[in-house]
Amino acid sequence: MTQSHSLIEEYCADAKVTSGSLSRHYWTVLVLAALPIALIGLGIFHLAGASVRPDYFDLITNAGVALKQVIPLMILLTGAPIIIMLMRPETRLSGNILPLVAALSILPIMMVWTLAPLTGEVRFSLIQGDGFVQCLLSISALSVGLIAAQITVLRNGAVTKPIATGAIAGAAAGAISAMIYAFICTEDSPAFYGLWYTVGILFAGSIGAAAGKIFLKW
Amino acid sequence: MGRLDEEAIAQLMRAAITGDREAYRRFFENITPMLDNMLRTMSPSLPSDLREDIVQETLTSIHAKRHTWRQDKAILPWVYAIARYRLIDFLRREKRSPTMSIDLESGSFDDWAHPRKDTSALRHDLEQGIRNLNPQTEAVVRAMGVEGKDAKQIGTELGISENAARIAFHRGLKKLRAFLSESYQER
Repeated sequence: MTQSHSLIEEYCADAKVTSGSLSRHYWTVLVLAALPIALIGLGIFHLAGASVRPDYFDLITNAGVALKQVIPLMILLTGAPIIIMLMRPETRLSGNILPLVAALSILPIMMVWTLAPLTGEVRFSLIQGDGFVQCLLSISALSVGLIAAQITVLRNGAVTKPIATGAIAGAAAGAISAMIYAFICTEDSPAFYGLWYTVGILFAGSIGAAAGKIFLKW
Repeated sequence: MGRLDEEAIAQLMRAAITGDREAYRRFFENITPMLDNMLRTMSPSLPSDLREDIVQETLTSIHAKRHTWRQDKAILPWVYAIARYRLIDFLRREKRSPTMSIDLESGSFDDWAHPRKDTSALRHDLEQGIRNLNPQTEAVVRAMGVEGKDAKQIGTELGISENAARIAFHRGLKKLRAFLSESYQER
């Protein structure tokens, strides 16, 4: 154990921990990344002809519109604590993930609820809206930077479940992206956003899972 | 020194985190045999030299990630989670590119660190041994062992982490020792 001893001697010279709380670090980086991404993203949407809805503040008094941001916020607020916990190596997922699963299932439930009483034709047109491609592409594009920001924080932790942690970080990034996108999104039917926001958030989750597998090793 | 219980070990780590070196040393002294036992239980077929490798990697990780232990939580689950991760990571790497197991028991550090006879032959063997290492390990061993740079500096120069440099150095030394003890046995 000679070598272990020399390692230990080295580490003892550097015993003190100077870094602060993992949770504070996570939230600081997330907010510092989300604000410029939101501003730049909305700026690019504006230049592309999709501005923030002019009557936005009147519209969000309508529950159907407000939920487009409230539910992604719930996904973020249920996902982030798990991400912070997963920076500690001994964390198990098990029951911890249930609040996130519940939050993620609200949008699909709203979609089904809206579509159930309708006929096939109407259902299809509501789901399709004016086009879901822009919605999916925007949520995915906005997510990339937010995933990268979280990965940099997570690398400072001791993540022992890199794929799951990456996936949840991706979903959190997707949720923030959906909140940003909702400022310009004119589709107010849960049949539309219930499906496509969820798909966007889950897709961001899969980007996060891939990023986690690659970048969260230590 | 007798074995400490979990709370006492946690106390040592709490003191270490505030900068108490002696507590940190005692913390390591206490968990090193525990880690060895744990790895022996988890992977009984693992040769002792590889197990020692993983113990060392685990100690390195514990040091690097000690800020991720929550001081109000039990410490052993945290320690074991790190050891388990290191073991799995090691086995995965080993599966991808199996390395030859090195016999740690043969020869001792002193045999080549303090040569009794021909130093020029030793110098030659040492150089041969260093050249035998993979390029990154070679660079680390030369910088750390020959030029006397510290791990942080080498890490920056080679674009690897400080801990990776430390591990590479200790690995390199071990390989050197095996190489030298082999070449001395041949004579």
